[in-house]
Amino acid sequence: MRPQILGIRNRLTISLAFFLICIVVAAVIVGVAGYYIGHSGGYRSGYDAGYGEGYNRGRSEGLAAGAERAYREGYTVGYGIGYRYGFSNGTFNIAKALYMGLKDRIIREIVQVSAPNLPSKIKVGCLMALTGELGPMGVEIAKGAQLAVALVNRLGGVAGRPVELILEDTATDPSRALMACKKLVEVDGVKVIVGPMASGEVMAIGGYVNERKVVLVSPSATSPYITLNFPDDYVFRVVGSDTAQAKALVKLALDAGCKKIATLVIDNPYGVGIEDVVSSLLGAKLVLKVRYDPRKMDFRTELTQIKGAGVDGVIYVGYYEDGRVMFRQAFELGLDNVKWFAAEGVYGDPMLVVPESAEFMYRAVVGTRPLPPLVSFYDEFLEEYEAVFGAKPAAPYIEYCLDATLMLLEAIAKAGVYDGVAIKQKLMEISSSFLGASGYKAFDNVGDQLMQIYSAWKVVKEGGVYRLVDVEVVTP
Amino acid sequence: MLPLNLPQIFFNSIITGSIFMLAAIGLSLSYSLSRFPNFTHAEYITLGGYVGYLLSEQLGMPLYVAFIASFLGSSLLSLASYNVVFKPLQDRGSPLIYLMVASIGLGLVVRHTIQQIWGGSPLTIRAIWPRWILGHLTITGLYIYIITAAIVTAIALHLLLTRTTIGKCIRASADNVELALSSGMNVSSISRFVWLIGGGLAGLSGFFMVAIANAIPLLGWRLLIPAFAVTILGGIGSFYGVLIAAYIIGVAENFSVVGLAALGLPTDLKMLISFVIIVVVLLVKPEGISASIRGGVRV
Amino acid sequence: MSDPSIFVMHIAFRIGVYGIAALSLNIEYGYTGLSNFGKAAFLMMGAYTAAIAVENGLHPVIAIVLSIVVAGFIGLSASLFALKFREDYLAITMLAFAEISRLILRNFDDSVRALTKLITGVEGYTNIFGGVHGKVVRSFVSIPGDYRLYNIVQLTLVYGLLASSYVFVRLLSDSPYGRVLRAIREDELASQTLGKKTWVYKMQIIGLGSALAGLAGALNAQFEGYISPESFQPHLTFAIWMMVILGGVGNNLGVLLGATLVESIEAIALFVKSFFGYLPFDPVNIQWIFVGASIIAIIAFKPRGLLEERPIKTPAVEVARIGYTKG
Repeated sequence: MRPQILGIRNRLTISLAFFLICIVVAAVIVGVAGYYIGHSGGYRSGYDAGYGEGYNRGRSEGLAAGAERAYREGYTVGYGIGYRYGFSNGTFNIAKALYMGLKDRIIREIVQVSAPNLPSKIKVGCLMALTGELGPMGVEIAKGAQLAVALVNRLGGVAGRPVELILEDTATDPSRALMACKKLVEVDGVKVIVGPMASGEVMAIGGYVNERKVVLVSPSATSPYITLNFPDDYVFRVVGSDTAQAKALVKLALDAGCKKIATLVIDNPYGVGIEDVVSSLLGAKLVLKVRYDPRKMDFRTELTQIKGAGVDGVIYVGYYEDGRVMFRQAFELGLDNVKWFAAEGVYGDPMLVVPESAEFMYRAVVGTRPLPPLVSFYDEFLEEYEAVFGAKPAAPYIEYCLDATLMLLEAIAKAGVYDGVAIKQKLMEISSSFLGASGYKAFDNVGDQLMQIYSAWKVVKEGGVYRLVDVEVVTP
Repeated sequence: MLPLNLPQIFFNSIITGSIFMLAAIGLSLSYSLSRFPNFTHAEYITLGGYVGYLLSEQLGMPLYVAFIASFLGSSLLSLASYNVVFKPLQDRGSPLIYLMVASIGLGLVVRHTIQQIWGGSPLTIRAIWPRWILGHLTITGLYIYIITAAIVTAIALHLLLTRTTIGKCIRASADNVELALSSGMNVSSISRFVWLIGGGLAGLSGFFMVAIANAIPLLGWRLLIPAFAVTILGGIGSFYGVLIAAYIIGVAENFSVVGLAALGLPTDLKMLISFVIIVVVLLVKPEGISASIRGGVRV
Repeated sequence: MSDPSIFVMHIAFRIGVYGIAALSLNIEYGYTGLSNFGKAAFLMMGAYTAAIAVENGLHPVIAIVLSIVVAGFIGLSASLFALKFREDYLAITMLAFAEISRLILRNFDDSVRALTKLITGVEGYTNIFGGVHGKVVRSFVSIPGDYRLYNIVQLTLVYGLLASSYVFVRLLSDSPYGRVLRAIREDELASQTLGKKTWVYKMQIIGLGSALAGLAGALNAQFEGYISPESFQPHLTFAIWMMVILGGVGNNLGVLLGATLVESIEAIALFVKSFFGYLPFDPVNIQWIFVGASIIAIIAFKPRGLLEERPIKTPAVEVARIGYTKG
């Protein structure tokens, strides 16, 4: 099996051309690196020189002029924030006081509403990753929307009209998510969509739903980049961004007394987003950053590396598929003597199917998940969920998906017309007093969650059976 | 801090290398005998994993039964794909690239059939392995199992290739098919034998991968790229080349994690190792390390 | 308000884009016999170049030109592999090349950050390619308010470019240049003995093919509005290959037919799924089993594709044929 051998002259030409291209590539790399190095170096020296001068002059001028203005601005900002939180808290308590529970809210705000202009059937689109990397989780989360629709239909429908849920698969692929979304909107005529799950998918369809004025509420897309790219628009989220969760994880780790911490994250927007925030919060306490490709499935060397770094805490971000393997291999390598702090991606019963992974979680893992167990209708959600599906919820975000669907249905009922612009307006309005299974759902002015509370969870072992329990509330 | 880790990382490399070796032997030999890179090989790996899962987890059989079944299942699929698809195509005179595209197409068929049967969610064998800790080295029963299987396979294949007639025929045809044909060997039955064994070994590697991690439909694709790197570094069709190259790539991949983490670079870049090896070896020394093996004996 | 034609136009747009990509593979493999299994990389380079150009406020026309030039230039350098390797080595190398580019692009920003810190000790900040987060791409065309018109303009754009690529490829393949390409495909040694510098042709063809692929990538990126390295995995390359082999290697209309078939099957699977509600099987699985099986069937029973390659129509051939029948 010898390759075809070229003539000597061609070889020379090739080597020459290859050499030239190597030089070009090297020059480009050196150039780019030089630019950034020079850039940061130059910036630094200019910064230092300018700093002293500017500081003195600014100080003398600013002291006089600034005091009064600062007072005025501080007053305004403080007043605004205080007012908003006070108002929200007030309405929240009213919300809690007003309704007996989820079903009560549905009956009063969704069913017993007079809306003569609504169509005879209310369509709700649902985009979830039913296959692909997030498939196992997506199938579970979609049940939240199914439960919401079943509940509303059982209680009488939106202003007496039945609700139809149209579920489409995104296959965890942004391009396919866009296609499925266009199918929902253009062919099925949907005006409201629950989902999709991953931030990349939301970013892929964000521009389109804005253009077509379709209201999109994602139950689980947590990347801060969504807000950056689509401020003030038709994209809403009923969950806090990764920044908040990263803060909660760091707080958990520092409270546990960890001095040297490593991060171990899945190499996708979810993991890298949290890693960035954690790294800026921890500074020198972060001694090792490891990203892994879930496709590789063999993480023993990454884990050995962490073991060798002598850390006393590991912040871990991943999903079921790779999380189970990771914990199993961490258990095999004896990493259960280190404290592990895991994000919500590994919260759920599928993690406990594998005995080694469950034992590892029992011994070493504490995690966060976005849930306010204090004031919410979560218990009622649990009851209904078990009645419909005959099992406990097996993934995070199912209650978020339920709330997203209920909010959309309530917004439709209040708007009285099946039209994106009106629904969006009403959605903003009702959010300030909405209390669902996952807590208060107030949106800020760009459609993100105003506040997000996290709970810390761990695994307990009772008579050989592993179970997930919430242990405390973490406010980032 | 590093030296304490060294034994463990080295041990990990040996396990990685053993799995790569099992995955690559069939690929390498069938590439040289049938003269096209067979992308369906990924599916033999996947099927082996799923058959292992089916027997040990769904039917509750002991692990050695699952082990043998994953070998048999994959080898039958391999043989069937050769007899039903590739041999007829070759007889019709399909060019190399067509065979390659056909193997990708057949891979799609098999992978999605597997996905239809078992679903796309990861499945796990719930066995608990004994664990021994020797200082900074942790060893589990599974790892011993993998290494033993690799050693036994290597010795058995060595004996087969050097001591038996069919082994000698395989070596001869892997080295030069025309010469083997003209000296009267039945190359197509030799090929069948090689596809049978190669597919079975790929199935074993899939079974081990499922035991280490999960069964997912893309399992085989995740091993195929390193297997290609091993095939090319070892020299296509060279059995001893595969043995050495598998461990070289195993070591390179695991130690690159150490290097990348030390430099602060994303450890994800370790995936580059296999690809860069493929490109560089083909550019610089397309016959791989097989040419450097003593005496220049091919295979 | 809802408008099914927009969904149809979405599928039509994809057919147009993958039609261009399939044409580009056709001149590489169909005419010249170069097995480029790294197509996804060149689509990716075109997409990212266009995204960055538009982000920095360049005119869409310049963005298109830039993405063609960048992808074409990288294609030229990658054509070194084509000079050295026979077809299966080339295929594997290009596959590896595509994955290397994807991994580098995915980790570029963080690597630069880490290296700057290593060398200077200062934590720099770069955000060129967006890494794993991907990039939101602004559309080339902006028509606020009328989404249907927007789609029609987009469709006109892509089909205009598809038509010009088709005419270009057609002219190229029917010219004397195209005959040399076919000669290289059939017997490289023979064409060398005829004094043709085959390596020059090969370099040019890979460069051209990559430039066309870059165009396809740029068009798709600005229409879909979001790109990330995950979208350019090997299965994208395989899909383009399926289109070419299915439709007819060496036949430009054939590869367009192939693109139409493969893309339509995807849309059909989407509808089958929601039309029947519950099925005992997943239509997506059936879709890929069908594509895989039909590829094998085509290779076995109609290896030249649905539309076969036609003899070249140039005056010289025509004259020779007429002369022969008369004589």
